[in-house]
This record gives sequence, C-alpha cells and structure tokens, in this order.
Amino acid sequence: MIKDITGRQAIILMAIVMCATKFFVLPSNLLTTGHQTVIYVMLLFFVVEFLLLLVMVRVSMLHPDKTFYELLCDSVGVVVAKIVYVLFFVFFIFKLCINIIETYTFFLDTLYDELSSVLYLLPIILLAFYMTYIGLRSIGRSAELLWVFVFLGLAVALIASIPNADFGYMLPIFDGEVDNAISVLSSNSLWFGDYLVYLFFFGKIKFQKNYFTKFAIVCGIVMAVIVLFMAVVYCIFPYTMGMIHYGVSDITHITAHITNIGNLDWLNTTLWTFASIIQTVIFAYCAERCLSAVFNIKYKYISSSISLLILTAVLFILNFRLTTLIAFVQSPVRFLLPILLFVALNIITVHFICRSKQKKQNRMRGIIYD
Amino acid sequence: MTKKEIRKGYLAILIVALIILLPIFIALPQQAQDRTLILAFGIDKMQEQYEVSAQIMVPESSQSGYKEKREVKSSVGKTIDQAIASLQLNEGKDIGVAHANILIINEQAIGEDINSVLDYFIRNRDIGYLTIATTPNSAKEMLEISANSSSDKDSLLRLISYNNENIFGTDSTLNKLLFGYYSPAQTSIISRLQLSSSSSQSSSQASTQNSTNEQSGSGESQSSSGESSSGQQSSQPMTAGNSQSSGSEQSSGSSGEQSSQSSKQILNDGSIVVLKSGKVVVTLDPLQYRGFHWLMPTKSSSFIELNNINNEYFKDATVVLDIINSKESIEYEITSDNIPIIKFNTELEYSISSIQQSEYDADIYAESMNDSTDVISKALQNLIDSEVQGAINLSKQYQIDILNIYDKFHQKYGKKFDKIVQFNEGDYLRDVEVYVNVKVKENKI
Repeated sequence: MIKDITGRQAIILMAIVMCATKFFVLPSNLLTTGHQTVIYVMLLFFVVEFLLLLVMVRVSMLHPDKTFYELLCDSVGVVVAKIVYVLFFVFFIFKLCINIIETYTFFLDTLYDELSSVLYLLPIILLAFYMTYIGLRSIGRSAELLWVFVFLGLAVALIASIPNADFGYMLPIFDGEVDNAISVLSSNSLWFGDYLVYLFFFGKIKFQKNYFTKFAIVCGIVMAVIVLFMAVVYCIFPYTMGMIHYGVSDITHITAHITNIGNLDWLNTTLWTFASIIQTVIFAYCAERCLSAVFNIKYKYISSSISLLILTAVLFILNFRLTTLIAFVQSPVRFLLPILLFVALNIITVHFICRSKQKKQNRMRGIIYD
Repeated sequence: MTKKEIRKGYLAILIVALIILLPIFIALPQQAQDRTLILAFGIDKMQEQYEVSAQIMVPESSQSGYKEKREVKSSVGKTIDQAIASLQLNEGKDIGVAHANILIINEQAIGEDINSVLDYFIRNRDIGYLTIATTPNSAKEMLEISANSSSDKDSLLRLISYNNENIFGTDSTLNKLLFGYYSPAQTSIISRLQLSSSSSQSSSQASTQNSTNEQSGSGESQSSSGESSSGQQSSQPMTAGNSQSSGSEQSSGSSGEQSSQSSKQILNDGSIVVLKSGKVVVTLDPLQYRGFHWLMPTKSSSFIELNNINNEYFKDATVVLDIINSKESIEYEITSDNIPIIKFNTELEYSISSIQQSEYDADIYAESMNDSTDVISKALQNLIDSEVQGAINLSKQYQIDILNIYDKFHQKYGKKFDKIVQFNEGDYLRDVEVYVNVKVKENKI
C-alpha cells in the first residue's frame, strides 16, 4: 500500500484538527452555564480521549498496511462496517457544518460588514474538492508548511492574554454542580471527537522512529493547551461569558484594548484561518472516504462531489446561521459522537480479542507471530 | 481524466475566476460613501427621551494628504435604538460602529440601571471594546469639544486611558463594567469626565490638548483633582464625605502655566462613579479612591503628599513623595468567629520629589535628607493605613465591593464564606476587618 503521509505530517495534522474549532464559540457555549467546573470535567474527558487515541495509534502501528475500513470488515463484517461508515459520514458532515458556519460568522463579525455566504462557500468547496481529490499527501504537506503560522497565532493569543487572566476564578474546584457540567459538555459533544480523524489515517502513515512517543507528547500538549485556553478565557470573562462570541478573538481583542497595541485579534484571526482550512479539508477527505467505502465508488471526484453537494445542501438548510447550527447540534444529534465513541471502543476491543485468539492459535501451531 | 489534467483544469478555473472577480472588487464603492463612521457615542437624557450623539469621521483628502475631520451628529428617541435608527435616517447612511471605542454617558441618563442604556452596545457585535466615562455635563457638548480640538481622534480615549493606566488603574471599559455588574458584588466603577472653563481652572487640569503629557503631567493631574472634585460635589447624585480633602489642596506647582484659552475643556480629575446593580450610589474623589487603589493589583506609581511633617529640620513641611516601586501581598482569612479578615502587606520604595516649608534652610538640605527617613516613613505608614481603613469604611457604608472581596473569600473558602454571606443577609462587608502592614524604603539614588 502507498503511504500517503509521514509520521510527522500525521502528528501535525492531528494537532491542528484537534484544536481548530475549539477556540471560537465553544468556550462561550461551555463556560456560560458550566463555569469553571466544566473545565475540570473536560480535563477528565480529555484524559479518556487521549488514552483512546493512543490505543488507536497502537492499532494503526500493529497493522500498518490496513485501512480502518479493512480492519472493521475483518472484525465485524462488511455490513456493520458500512453502517459504521454511514454514521461517520453523517458525523463529518456535521463537523464540516460547524467548522464552515463558525468560521463564516467569525469572519463576518470580526473582519467584514457584509459577507456573502455563497461567495464564502464557493472557494472553500472548490478547495476541499481539489485537496480531497489530490489526496492525503497534499493535505499533509500543506499542514507541514502552515503549522508554524497556526500555532504562532495561538501562542500570541495565549501569551498576550495570560497576564489579564485572574486564575483565582478557577477556584473553588468543582464549585458548581458536576452533573450540570457533564450535561453542558454532552450538549456540545459534536465540538469534540476530532481525534476520530486518525482512524482515516490507518494504513496511510509511513511510521518513523519514536512515532508513538512523539505522537503522545504532541497530542498531550495540544489537549493541555485547549484546557489552558478555556481556563484563560474563563478567567478573563468569569461573569460575562454569555457576551463572549469568539474566544480566540475576544481574548486578544481585550488585550489589544488594554495594552493599546492595535488590533491584535486581526493578526490572530488571519493566522487561525489556516487551521480552519486544514480542518475543513481533512473532514471533507474523511467524508469522501466514508462515501467511497459505503457505496464502493471507484472515482474520487464522484464521491468527493457527492459529499460536498450534500454538505452544501445541509449548510443552506441551516441557512448559515450560527444560532440555528448551535440549536441543531445541541439537539439529539449530539448523541452521534458518544455512539461513534462506543462503536470505536467496541471495535478496537473486538479486534484485540480476535488478535489475541489468533496469537494463541499461532503459538499453538508453533508459528512465530509477526 | 488524469490527475494532471484535473490540476491544469483547476488552475484555468482559478485564473478565470480572478479575471472576473478583480474588476468587480476594484469597482466597489468606498465604504465611507455608504457608511457613517462613528468614533464615539454620547448619551444624554432629555425628559423621557434619550439623545444619542455620535462623533463621526468625515475623511477628506487635501493637497497635503489625508485629513480626519470630525463632526458631531445627534438624534432623539425613546430608546437608544430608536435614536440611533433616527440618526441613520437623518444621515441617509448606515452607521459603521467598528471604530467606535468611546461611550460617554450623562449621569442623568444612567437612571435606575445602566444596563438599559448599555444594552444596544452590548448586543451589537460590530462594536469592539468600549471605554466608558460618565459626566455630570452634556455628553454631546463633550464630543463637540473633542471634535473641534486640534488633537487627533484618539485624544479623548487617551484622556480616559491615561488616568486609568498611569494614575489610578481604573479600568473603565464596558467589559469591566459588566464584569462588576454581573458579579456577586454587583459593583462597577466608571471614570468621570467633566467640562470646565479654562479661565477658571489651572492648566494643570487634563484637557484633550495636554492629555498626552508625560509623567509629570500625571502627578499634576492627580494633585489638582481634589480641588475640582470637592468643588463639584453638590452636583453629584450622591457624594461621599471628603474626609481627606486636605490632600486635595496640594499644589501641583503649575499655577504659573495659566492657559490663555477661554473655551471649555474636558477634564479628567481622577474621580470615579461607583454603581451598585447598575445604579449610581456614590462618586469618589481621587483621594478617596486611592484608599481602594492601594489594595488593587493594578496599582501604579504615583505621587503622594505628606502634610505637617515635623522634626528637627522640618516645620509643618509638605513632602511630596514619588512611589517608585511597590510589592504587596493580600491575605484573605476567616477567623474561628467567622470574621472575614484582610491582611494587607506592602513594601514601598519612594524618593522625595519635593519639600515645601516656609522656613527652609538650604544648608541642612543633605543632612535633613539622611535623617528624615524615619519620620517620613511613619507618616507614609499612617497615611496608607488611614486611606485603606477609610476605603473599607466607605465600602461598608455604601455596600460597594470595589475590591471584589466576595470573589477572593469565595475562591478560598467556598461554601464556608457563602454561609457567612447568608448569615449577614447579603451584607458580607459588614464584619470585614482590614489589617495594614506597611514597610517603606527610601531610594536616595
């Protein structure tokens, strides 16, 4: 099998995808009612997510030549695999909607007075189609070029904002009701689970030395940064979270206002665009892979076109409105991620059981296992 | 179709799109043609109606380059929205508020709850972070004076911010105001601007023209502030007793710099308006506010006058100190009797800025400097202690928690403090005690 991306590119892609949309409206959605307790609950959630991700990495390293779909078919059969991939397709279409509408509204509010949704969508769809068609390799290369700018923007935002945050507002720990925090987190579950993208890298990564360790360190840092970012936003606006629209913009905006150094948020907004674009392209790629697997579509441009047409239709149904999107995402649709997590967990467990049985049989036959 | 063909096709589409779009974007009209660019808002109340004034920018090109001409337009409505809609109608253009960064509210317009005035500005996503100031005078007139001044468009913002950043650390922004409004303490503070005729005021008072002055200007502004604030007390909705007014009469030494202008000037004397649940409860003059400021993390360098200093060299001398450095720690504790205690420890480093006394002997200058550290240190200790205690007493009197005492105790003690608040029926400031420990050091370099 042709290896599309290097281990380094896979790590960079995961780092960008995991944090790109978590810094826009999510802080406000979570912290307005969840307060600081939600940050502690999120931290625990991330620990579980991190461990699950490491299991995925280990499985991908054990089967470097198999895609996740092939593993699924081997473990649970073709029919179940197709059902899982349909769920994944729906999941990625929703993730794309979140990404595109959030970014569109972000631009509309921070940079433009008027911005046509069609004019905004057109280049994004064209880019997504092109990148999806060309394949994971070009996405990985783009991410390798752009990651410095993305994380530079984030670093500037954090470094400039931390002095304005009073971290005393993180106390007392678990001050609010934990069940309320869990409820808030589950209402916004579709903003999480970005790490499931890794399943679509299976069989396409050219593993390098110390890949697992590097992966664990980088993803651990990214998750820690997300938690730190949430804490910074909350500690700057503990009582006015409901009025915060875009975390990444607002924290730098207020810093610029205090320090009188101009519109720092514009610089940050521009740099953060790269992360958003990479995430859009990756989700489009995953959606295309799902459609291709479910319907056995041979030609990429067909599966890519169909998935992007479905995305466009959903975006127009949602009318590009952030409030409609939030209401939609917080509807029962939010249970999609827990279902997928459950499925992924079970499949991995089944796979390991099958594998250990196979190992046992091989040992009994006296064959040295690879 | 091969990948190479698709790549070529895509490139062709991109080039065609650029060729089509470029002339469209070039031909777009200037935004200034269909937008009124607002720099600052002013709100006054006329009987039962709001008068919203907007300082707008009218860009003009001239032979020497680009000129920023400013005008003030106003409109009246029953609500802020109505007045602004009317303003748009009168102008025949939409309003562009992305550059608006100042809001001046007449104290009459605040009414029972400032939130009713601010709601439009909070909900409008195009407006960035506003710096807010109140005024007992006309907000419209204030904007007009600012617009007619020769200084640049940001001079009014600097006038408010200079005081905020360099003297008293009053963060007078919309965000900070709402932070206080929605906090359990429900207490917010806003800077206060006033109009004064230059013929009756010394030029040491900050004006739009001199707002960019350097550090020396800040000291003058502070010391002159007491004079004007005490003079303005009768016009304020509710004014705390000026127990330390003696400090406000300190001369800045700039009386010889009388301004020749007879027009009105915008004055920031450092006084602040304190709101509880959005309603003005008290106006504090700079010296009263300084008592709170000692306990604030934003504390910055400032000048302090010590009066009636006496020892073998000084007779009823007034010594002006420049605070160079300060390190402070504040501990919040609850005793076994459920008494909230604030322990304030500070280490100050000062240098003597000037000494004023009637019979000053220049020969003993050096000797007096070396031997007077103790008496000055003690006077400084007493001053800080009395100012801090005065601030806490004011807090108790008006139930204003400027220092966010609630948050500090709640963060440390959680439910234990909540019980005290419940027991005191919300008046948690009633039993608060403060202990002040000041260490001072003179910088003689």
